[in-house]
Parts: sequence; C-alpha cells; structure tokens
Amino acid sequence: MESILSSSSMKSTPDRKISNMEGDAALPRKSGELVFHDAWERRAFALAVALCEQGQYQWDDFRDHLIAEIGAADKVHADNPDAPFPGYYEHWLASLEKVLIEKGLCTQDQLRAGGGEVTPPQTPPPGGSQRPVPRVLRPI
Amino acid sequence: MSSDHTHGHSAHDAPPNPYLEKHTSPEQTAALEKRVQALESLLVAKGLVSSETLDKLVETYENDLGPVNGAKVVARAWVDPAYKERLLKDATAAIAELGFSGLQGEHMVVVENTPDTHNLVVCTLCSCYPWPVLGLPPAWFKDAAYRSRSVVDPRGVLRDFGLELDESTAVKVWDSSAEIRYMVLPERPAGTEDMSEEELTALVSRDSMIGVTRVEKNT
Repeated sequence: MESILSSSSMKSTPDRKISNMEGDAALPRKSGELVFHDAWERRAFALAVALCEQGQYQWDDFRDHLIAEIGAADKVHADNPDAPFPGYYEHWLASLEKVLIEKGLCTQDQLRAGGGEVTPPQTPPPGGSQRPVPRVLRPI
Repeated sequence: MSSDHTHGHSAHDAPPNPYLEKHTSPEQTAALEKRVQALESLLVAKGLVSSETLDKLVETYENDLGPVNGAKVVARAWVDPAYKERLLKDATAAIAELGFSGLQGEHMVVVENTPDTHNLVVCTLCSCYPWPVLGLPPAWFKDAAYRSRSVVDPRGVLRDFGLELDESTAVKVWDSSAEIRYMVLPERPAGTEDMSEEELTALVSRDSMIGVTRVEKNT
C-alpha cells in the first residue's frame, strides 16, 4: 500500500495524518464519528482535504494555520470570556483561506468577493517556515 | 487493574471537546454557508476541485475506520502466538505495531474468548468504543437497553444475537470507559487451519470483537 499518489484519482482511504490529528487540532468526534453541525462544515472539510490530496499543499501547512487559529482564539477567550467562541470549522475555514493565499491558489480579492474575511497578507518569507502570526480578532 | 466504575458521564468522551457543540447563530451559519459555497465555486472554476469528488471524499472520512483494523489484529493473533501474547499483555502497543493508532490517551485491553469464558463489551454509561480498531459503533451499542441489559442479563443479550452459550461457559462483561476500551479476541473457528491470515481477516466480524457473536467459518 505504498503507492504514490496518482495525480487524478482521489484516495479511497483516509489520510491518517488528517483523520488522526491530535491535541487541539484533532477533528471533533463523538464516539469516533466526525461531528459536523452544518453542511458548510462538511464542505469546508472536504475542500481542505481535497486540495491537500491533490498536492496543492502539505497537510502540515494547513495544520499549522489551524493550530495557530485555535491557539489565538483560545487566548482571546482566556483574556475575555465574553468574546465569541468560534467553532472548530470556522478556524478550519480561516486556515484554508490563509493557506490558499499563501500558496498563491487564490487572491485576497477573490476571497473577499465571496465573503471571506481575510487578514492583510503577512508576506511569507520565500520558502521559509513562517511562524503564523495570530490575528487580532477584535480590538478591545 | 482497577474495577472502579464510578466514572461520570463527562469523563466518557474525554477529553471534553468544546467543539462538539454548535457555536454559530442561524445568521452566522447562513453567512458561512455562502462563504464556503463561494469558495467552492471559485476553486471549481479554477479547476482545483470538482464538486463530485468532494462528496465522495467526505464519505470516505465519515465511514472511515471500519472494523477491518480490528479484524487484522485478531487474524494476526490467531496465526502468530508471539503477537497474541503481546496483544493480551499490552494491547495498545500491539495494535500500534500494526499501524493503528488514533486513540487519545485511552488504553486498549484485549480479552480472549476461550471454551470456558466468553467476553462481552459494553459501555454502561454512554458509548465508549475503540473506534480506531472497530470503526463506528453500531446503533445498538449506544442503546440504553443494550447498555443496561448486558450487565444484568448478558446471556439473554447474547441469545438475542443468536448466540446460545453453554451453561458451563462463564460470561464476563467488560465496561469500557474513557480510560480503557475493551476489545474481544474471538476464538478461531475450527476448520480454518489452512486459511491465510488474509482469509481469516475476512471472517472476523465487528460483532464478534464486541463479543455478541462468535466467528463462524462460513459467514
């Protein structure tokens, strides 16, 4: 089962790197079942996984953003318990948008046109592994 | 070996995950639906994804982790006595040897069925289940009736599943919890001596690893 990812066909088995993420980034599950509250969450999940499976980015690229998003939100929430507590897939979607911009797959304007909220680009160092900068969710 | 069963419900799906509840208002949900729809359209227009593969992909992950992982563990234990010994001693490690992990801090314990002892797994308080090896729990496993009756009348439950045990066979019921998830190592059916590990894997059903059925040669 060491087959190299064939270019066009999707894998029929889940990528363990994705399905077995641990810690804060772990996929929400209830007794093993993935928990999606709304259709858009399922869709956002599929988009991020599909683009990775097609080699548009490495899963770690996406996951680093996801961990940073979750960490930043947790911090905001710790400082201000009344702050809104976004859902897992909101962080997921924000991470997806960031990685799309980072990899040059979409522009900010394109995302904005679709209603995406994107922070100004922190121009990534070429090829460097950039430490994600937590965005300020709301000035207090 | 603790036999402490006082774990509360909240401990069962530990660690508590704040994301299991919905956080968005209907207005936010509608906005997010639109945002994802727009993103998908954009990516489809760019030729990066197709809507059809997206549907299939979610299914793959949702129906992930069928009981086949557990079946492989059982078949290996049947053909490899040294592996079986490791499995019964430290199931978490032995299962990881085959490349199956994903539990978050819970330990696996494998209990062996013998001619004298039949094991049955339940989670009396909710539905703790070793999903990385057995896949998603069947609906009846979460059913209140199964959860309570397995303890008071395990033989009756087994009868409902079509398994009539000899009176001389002891029944042990194992209560899975947040910390420990049990799996049954069923008896290898007679007449399978010539079968390959792969063929044996195909015989092992999910239910037999929960302990509500036996593995039969012809299934």
